[in-house]
Amino acid sequence: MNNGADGPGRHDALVRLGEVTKRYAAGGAPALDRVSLDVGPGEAVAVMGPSGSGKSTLLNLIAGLDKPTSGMITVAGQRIDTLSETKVARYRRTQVGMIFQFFNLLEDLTVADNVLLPAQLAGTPRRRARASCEQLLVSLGIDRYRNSYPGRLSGGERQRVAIARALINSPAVLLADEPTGAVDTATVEEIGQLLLDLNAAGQTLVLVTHNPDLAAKYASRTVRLADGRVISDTAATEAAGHDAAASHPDTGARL
Amino acid sequence: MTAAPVIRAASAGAVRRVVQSAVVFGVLAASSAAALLGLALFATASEGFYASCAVTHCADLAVTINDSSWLGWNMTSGRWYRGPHEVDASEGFLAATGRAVGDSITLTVNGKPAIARIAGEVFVPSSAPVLFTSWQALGGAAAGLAASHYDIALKPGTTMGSYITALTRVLGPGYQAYTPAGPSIAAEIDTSFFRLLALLVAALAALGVLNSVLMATRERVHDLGVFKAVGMTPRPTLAMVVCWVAAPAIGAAAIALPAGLITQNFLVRDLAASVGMVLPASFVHVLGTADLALLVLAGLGIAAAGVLGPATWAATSKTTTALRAE
Repeated sequence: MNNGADGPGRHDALVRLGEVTKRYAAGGAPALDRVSLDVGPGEAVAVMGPSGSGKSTLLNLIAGLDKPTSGMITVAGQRIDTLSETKVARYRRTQVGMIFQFFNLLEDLTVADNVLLPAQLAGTPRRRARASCEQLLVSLGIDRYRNSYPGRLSGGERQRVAIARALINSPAVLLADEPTGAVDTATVEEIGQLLLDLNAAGQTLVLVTHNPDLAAKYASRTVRLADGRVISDTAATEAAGHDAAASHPDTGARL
Repeated sequence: MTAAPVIRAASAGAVRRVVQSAVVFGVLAASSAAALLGLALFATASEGFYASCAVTHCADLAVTINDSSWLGWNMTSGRWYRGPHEVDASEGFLAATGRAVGDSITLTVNGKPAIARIAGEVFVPSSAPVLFTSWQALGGAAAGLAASHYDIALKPGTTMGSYITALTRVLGPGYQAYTPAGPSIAAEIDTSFFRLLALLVAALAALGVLNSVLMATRERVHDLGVFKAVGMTPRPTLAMVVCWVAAPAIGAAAIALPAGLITQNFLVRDLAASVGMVLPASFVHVLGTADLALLVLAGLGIAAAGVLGPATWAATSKTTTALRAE
């Protein structure tokens, strides 16, 4: 294994990391060490590894929330590691949707306003943005909370709002950082199924998780990190769950 | 009772800080007065001859004659006397006689009654009963009253030392001419202290504004991270932070500035009241329009400084750092 070089990467990769290294302190141990990884369109890739292995750093780099110390990152044909702050912000609003463990919703905004925010930043016409928002709220089963504030919602409902917000601009890739880390067991299944349905609908997904069951059940490929290096990159063995989800007649079809 | 006549000279600036010219009944020789008038030309060419003397019936009452407002007396209430039948009184006088501004009093001068109305209360930093009035109100110098003490303001350019030397030479022995160096209003209640106090209170208010600005930003660091994570570019981020902070900053300033001034007002008045003084407004309202305008500008400057720091930080900080903030 050479940090993903032999993994199931594709030539038409939607996300491509080439020899990416990230150090938070000069001279310190790298959080990511010469990681190369390709994610093809429509793939659902689970990134696993122990705490401190570099999972979240990898996701943050793909999201453009951070810059690599060296190496290159390309998403949808656009090299993002060299973009200015303004351009990388534009990239974030159009090419990626981010789902966080602790939701990161704005408590002062209603559910609808939270979902609409990236569309407003992207300059989407108001009417079209509202229509997309409404469609997402209905699809995710949270339309009755459209005028509620996030503080009144359960963890699962909040994560659905976060997913709706991540999807409002139809991003090329959906990045989920421990999306089930702050929800109860029953909701883990809901969120997992939702992500699976999205992937079944063609949404490219990179999922960081500690949960091997979630990775096995809802991702088609698992990348394992340890000490900032890719130690394995394998197709999911439990394809059954994925196949079952892909045929889910409800949200998959709607989304 | 006779006291040695006293001549005091001071430059115009210093003279305004003289506390009072307490003069007792006495006899001032006409020759001396003439000599004084001659020398006073050095002081009166442009500003007139400023003289004030006090005449008292008894050992406890000092009367200051002629308009001595130029000495720096401050009115606690009412106004400076104008007519020939008006007087101003110190708080000590009003307390001792049970009179108030607007009341009439009868002064008995050499056995002759002279009725006068109290036009105002003059701040005297002691409990001494003092009257301020004109010769006319007392029946004039012809009634046998004579000044025992003059306060003289020198014309700009006149050397005080040489003036006093010349005056002493002319007056001869038995008269004393000197530069006032003793207790003065400024020494006893220094308005610069009030100014300092006011500025301290204003500085505290400014710190309050700065604090509110910084707290407003700090509370929203995480939100900033979210805005940036979903694609807000640096310039709108900066603008948004300015808007976030400007409202509470302006609100805080609108409350803090008047609150600071009111607090200062109460504090100074209470301090004075604790030693039995009623301060004139000029001692309390030490901040003029220009000072207040400066304070407002300073407040805006502080708010701007408080805004720009966090705003610039917010616009340039790492999104991941902001997202981790609680």
